[in-house]
Amino acid sequence: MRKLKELSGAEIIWECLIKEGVDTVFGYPGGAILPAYDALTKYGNRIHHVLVRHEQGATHMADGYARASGKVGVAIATSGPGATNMTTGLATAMMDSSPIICITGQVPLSVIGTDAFQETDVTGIALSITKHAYLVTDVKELARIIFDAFHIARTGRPGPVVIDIPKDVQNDTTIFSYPKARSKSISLNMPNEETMFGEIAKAIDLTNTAEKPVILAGHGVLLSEATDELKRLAEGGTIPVSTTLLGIGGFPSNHPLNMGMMGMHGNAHANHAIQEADLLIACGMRFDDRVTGNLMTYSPHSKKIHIDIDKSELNKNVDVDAAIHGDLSSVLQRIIPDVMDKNRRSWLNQIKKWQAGVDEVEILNQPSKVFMAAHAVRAIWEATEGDAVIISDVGQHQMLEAQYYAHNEPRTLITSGGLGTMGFALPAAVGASFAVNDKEIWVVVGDGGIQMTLMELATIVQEAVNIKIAIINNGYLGMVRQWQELFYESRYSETPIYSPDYVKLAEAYRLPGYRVFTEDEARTTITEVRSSEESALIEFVVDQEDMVYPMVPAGANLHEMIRRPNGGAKKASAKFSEERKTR
Amino acid sequence: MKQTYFVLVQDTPGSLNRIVNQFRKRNINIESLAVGPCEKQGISRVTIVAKDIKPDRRDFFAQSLNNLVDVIEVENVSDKSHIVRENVLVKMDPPPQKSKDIGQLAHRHHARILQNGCSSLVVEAIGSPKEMDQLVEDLKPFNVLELVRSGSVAISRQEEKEASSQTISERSQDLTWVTQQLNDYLS
Ligand SMILES: Cc1ncc(C[n+]2csc(CCOP(=O)(O)OP(=O)(O)O)c2C)c(N)n1
Repeated sequence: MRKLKELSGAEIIWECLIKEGVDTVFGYPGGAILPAYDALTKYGNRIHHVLVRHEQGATHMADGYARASGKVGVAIATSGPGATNMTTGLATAMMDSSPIICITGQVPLSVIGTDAFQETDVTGIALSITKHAYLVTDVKELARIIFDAFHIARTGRPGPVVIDIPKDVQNDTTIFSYPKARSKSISLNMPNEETMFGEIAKAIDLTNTAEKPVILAGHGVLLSEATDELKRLAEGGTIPVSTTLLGIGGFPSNHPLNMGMMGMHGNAHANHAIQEADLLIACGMRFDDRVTGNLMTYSPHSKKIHIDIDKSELNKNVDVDAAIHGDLSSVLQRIIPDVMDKNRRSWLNQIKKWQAGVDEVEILNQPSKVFMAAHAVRAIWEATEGDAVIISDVGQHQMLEAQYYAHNEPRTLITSGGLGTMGFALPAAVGASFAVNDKEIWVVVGDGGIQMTLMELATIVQEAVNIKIAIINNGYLGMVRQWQELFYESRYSETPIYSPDYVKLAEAYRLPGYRVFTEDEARTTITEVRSSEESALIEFVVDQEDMVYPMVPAGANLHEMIRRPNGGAKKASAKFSEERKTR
Repeated sequence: MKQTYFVLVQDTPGSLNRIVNQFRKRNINIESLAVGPCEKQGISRVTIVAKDIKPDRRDFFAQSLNNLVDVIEVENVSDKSHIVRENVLVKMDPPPQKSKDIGQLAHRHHARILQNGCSSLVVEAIGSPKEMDQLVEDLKPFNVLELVRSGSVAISRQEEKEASSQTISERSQDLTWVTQQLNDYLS
């Protein structure tokens, strides 16, 4: 018999989510999460549940929602296979510091550890791919755990948290009250304002004496909402800025001090500047191997300032001279007033010279008649006036998007950086579509990546969201093919990839579908789909063996980039293209 | 390089697992691990000795342990700031004529000899890991049947009590208990 005012664990889950301000969740039901889904019928008017087609999609959607909104995204699945399907999304969110909560059903407490039907050790599996994971063993603990989970997910360096809830705990009842403060037992390695002083003073000193400084802006700029501070620092000290892939949008692309992306496929002048700099000011980035190249020769003449909310990142890959463990925006606020405006004209001129060399080998300046992925990206950029939210997948098209779509605002590029998860873009865009209402949403995805999660097209249609999907079809797993061309003597082992007829596929899902072969067709089709509030899919049939340049081969020195050969794109492999045109 | 970490952690299911995982996922071998309750309720103290951590990575490991939600405090105790002790038990079956040598050896190491009830005997010692390494080394020639080491435990030195910072050998001028044990055994 249920006592007055007692709620079941299942009801408590939804009550807590509502208290946390959650209005949308992404999930998929199953046996061990049935009580929660049953309770949802009572909360359906306050929480919108998006039925995904695969639990991986649910995690990417929660992630996309979190990245687009800055709020915590929530995904729900059943035990066993439902939970294991979530692992890729958890690892993706972990690597990119994205705050998501994954709620999983679990077999009843009484049978935990007996290899019961659909039992998996979820908290065990989650160990290395979450910030924290809970197994709830008492319904009285549930509200506190959910409260703590949200706190952990969004506090400090954000990350994914799993809450594994046995079926009987969902059925048990207790009096519900939502905590007002986190548990004392949580310790999050937060910055210590006092110890910061010395390092901040050092940082100011280093900045004011530097002749050739560069700011490295990472994902932390977005997560800490430090875009204004970053701009003030850059402008105040006349310091050029380069961003990481996930830092794109943290500093306006059209700002004269923005050198663009750094690293493996970064702008050559940005990489040169980093190598020649006498000071690096690293803001919320982690010196990943994709941005440093060979660490032994990385920016050899520079002093380094590193500001990060995660203390374990300081001095991890690169030894620094001032290590500031703190929230980027508040640290910058303390630094900025003491930064002097120095005349750094000769440094900026030097960078301009490097840049002039870059422009010559840009795809857009090549006398090419061939329709290339960069042209497709550029056409989308022009049509949307650089003001769309782009969710890119992983591969060549991802790098080309970063190079050719100029983002001016934070949270307008969403992409899997640290894990490089193919299949991320389409579901992440679904999530983002529930967080963004003032901007167009475009997916830029390869013919490989789209085939990893294309079942979510059904979710897009069922939810009637407005997402424009640009499939960049080069007939290859392009980025891998690029490595094979460069480093494996063009032995294209298992990289040519067959695609379905995407136009028919779109139609099968009752979406408008288009296929374009030229820049002109691309422009008119983009204009056409933009005029509708409905989702649409465009397949851009592009040059098959295009390359992403510049490229710093893995482990090579950052300044030793392979550059685009001058004088036009490589001829597309004629036979295969003809075949594709007549399909 | 060997590093010793001293971790205060919530005593909850899985918290030890998370600590160990910080080493496992970076392919670092844990040499010894000691866990137990401490003076605070619901909190455990863990002492971990991990092998082959490069000096420039020692702080990284401390900080990544610190990032764990249920870890309250982490210290690297590889320097002199902590007293580190280990318990060693060695079961031996020496020929009668060697018993005396063992007795003397045990005496030198401030070890105790425990009667085993049968022909074998057990040498028990507590000391710094280095002292214990030496004891084990010295006992090797005497037909060791079994060797057990507890793993290191550590406690921070108190600034004001310098006396407690001596090693066992420095401290134990009063060896009566050792002698007593020895006599018991030899009689
Ligand atoms: C899940 C997953 N599997 C494999 C890879 C390795 N990988 C990186 S890029 C790439 C090729 C992507 O091909 P496509 O989606 O067609 O994009 P393109 O590079 O051609 O633009 C592959 C296979 C990955 N990043 N993620």
